[in-house]
Amino acid sequence: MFKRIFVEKEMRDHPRVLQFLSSFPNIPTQEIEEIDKIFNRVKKPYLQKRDNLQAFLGRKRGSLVKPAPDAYGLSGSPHYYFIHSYNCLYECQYCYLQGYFDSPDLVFFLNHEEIGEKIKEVCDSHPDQEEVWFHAGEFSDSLALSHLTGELPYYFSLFQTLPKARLELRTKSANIKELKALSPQKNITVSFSLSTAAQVKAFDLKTPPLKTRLKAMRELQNLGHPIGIHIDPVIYEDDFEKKFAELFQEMKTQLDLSAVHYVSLGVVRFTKDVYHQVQKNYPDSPLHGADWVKSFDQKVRYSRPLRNWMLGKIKALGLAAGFNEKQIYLCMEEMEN
Amino acid sequence: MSTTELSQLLCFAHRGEASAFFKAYDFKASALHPDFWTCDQGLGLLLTGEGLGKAFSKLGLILGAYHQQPRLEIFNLGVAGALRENLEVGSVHKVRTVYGEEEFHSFELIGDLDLITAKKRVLSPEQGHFLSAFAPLVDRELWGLCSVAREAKRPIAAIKIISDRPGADEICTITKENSKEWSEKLLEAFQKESQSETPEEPSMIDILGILDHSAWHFTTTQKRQYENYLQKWQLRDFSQTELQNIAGEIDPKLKPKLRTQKLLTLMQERFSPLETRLRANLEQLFEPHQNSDLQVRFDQSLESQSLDVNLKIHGAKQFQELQTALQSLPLKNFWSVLQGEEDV
Ligand code: SF4
Repeated sequence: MFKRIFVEKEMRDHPRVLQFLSSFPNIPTQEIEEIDKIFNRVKKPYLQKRDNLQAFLGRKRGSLVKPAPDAYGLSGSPHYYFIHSYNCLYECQYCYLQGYFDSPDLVFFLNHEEIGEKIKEVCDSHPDQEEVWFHAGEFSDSLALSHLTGELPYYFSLFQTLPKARLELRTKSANIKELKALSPQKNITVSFSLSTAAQVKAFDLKTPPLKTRLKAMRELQNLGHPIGIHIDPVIYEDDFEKKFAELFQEMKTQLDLSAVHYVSLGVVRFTKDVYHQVQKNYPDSPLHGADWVKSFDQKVRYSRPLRNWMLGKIKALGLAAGFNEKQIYLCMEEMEN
Repeated sequence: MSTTELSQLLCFAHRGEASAFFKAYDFKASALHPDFWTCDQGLGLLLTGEGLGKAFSKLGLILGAYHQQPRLEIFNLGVAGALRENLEVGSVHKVRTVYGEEEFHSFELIGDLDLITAKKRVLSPEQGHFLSAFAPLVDRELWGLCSVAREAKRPIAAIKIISDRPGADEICTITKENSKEWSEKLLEAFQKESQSETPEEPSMIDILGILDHSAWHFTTTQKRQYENYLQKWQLRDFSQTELQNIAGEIDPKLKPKLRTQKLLTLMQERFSPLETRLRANLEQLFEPHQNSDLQVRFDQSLESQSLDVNLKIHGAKQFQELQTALQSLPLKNFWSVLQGEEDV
């Protein structure tokens, strides 16, 4: 998986570093002073993640928990995200990380206890709120490599002590081995990003197929773990309504829809830089067959009526499948119109 | 000054690296610069000297003199130091990514190993260790050559032979004992590389075969648009038969210019049927409300909720009529179309 693993000197004896390294006994490791002095210092081509992927293990410094953008998650409560990882093993063609970092290398910050302290602090700073949300996976996939990084037990015990805090673990993986060993907690939701089977195959390169994701979701649901769903990014395809009706049908067959915590919907969008990266990295992607416009916020999107129409259709299909109004929210888009 | 026709410009830092090339080709001194030679096989040879500054100035000079040559590829050939243990001294590598010490920009070439160009010649073990985090190879010029090549929009490739490994006092040195052998290896690699076919850029095939047909007339912009649409057609996996059917349905009696315009419109409609229907619906929506005194235009990208309304006022009575007409504009329907609420 990795060609080389860099470890910050300061963290070389940290138990999580040692645990991580024990999974890669034959991979060369190199000690470095600080991740920031190497990672993102030069522009490393994105597609080198295929054959020259490196990992960095270290300590997150600076701001450990940040307020999430306004339209993030269910409205009404404060939302924050925390960063314990940069970049992802998968290769979704629309992934915004390809234009966000200047390197595809994976960075793992393993000082979770420090991050946890900050989470407690932020939570305490909202004495009047019933819920305070924390999202993992803003810059990575929360579960894909959780068996290597080993942080889940820590966050599960932390959130047990913070009843009004809510944690969202966001993923496209089906790697639930670690989660299965943990007792479900009401305030920890595992949310899965889904799209039609054909789109998963066409755009979400290297991710588990839709069926595998749904199976993992069912297993978690059966064990009592709260789950959420993101249908985001929605991409237009021929027979749009039929394909998404099939997706909801699959969900209905596999899951107890009434127990799904939320379903968020968002239409595909790119910053100009990310779109250029998509053109460079995936020149043959069917994404380039679409008619994009520069929208109100300078992002590259489908035209306004089309994206609204798509959201409306999917919402209606979701309601018809058995979700209720309260479960479905429109991500990022609702606020813009 | 007249310049010989060149197709490849070979850049070496030192004469020793180029010795086998001087033997293999009949290079003649050029009046352009004392460190520049050309030969009848279309090759140029430049000794840049060591370091970034020299790489910039000398390559810049030569590319400036040859700026009118349509095809000129740059090859950097020479030694590189290994920053990682597993690389064998004397092994030859094509460079894949070129980084520069303390430089953010990198260059992507075609090859198998990455290289960083160092600012200083002698590397302390600490500096070597630090640079090794970026790339397994180190040299003194390539990043500079790539910068100039990019500015001049010329392709560049690099073949490096490993001269020394970490722990050596100096990097990228070429000693008398091995310079002959290494230069020969570089020559061999270069000749092999020159013989290998570079794959042609896949050009978009005019699957309808109409670009030069007298029944059609393409302006330059339309030609580009048509090629762009053909590419989209393929990306969307639409069939050739479908395109032939679309083209076949266009009235053959139409003038070539109109036929071409029609074809492009129909292709566009196929890409975005929903938007096409939306636009048509919006046109229809405003059609009955328009006349020579009242013109309504909406944003063709359908992004803006605003409407442009042009009014001509001739007199008080007509102005009242216009006011009534304005009030009856179907604005609610217009906005609900933009909200995606209208099924089309
Ligand atoms: S799973 Fe998420 S983070 Fe990973 S490549 Fe896909 S979109 Fe990017």
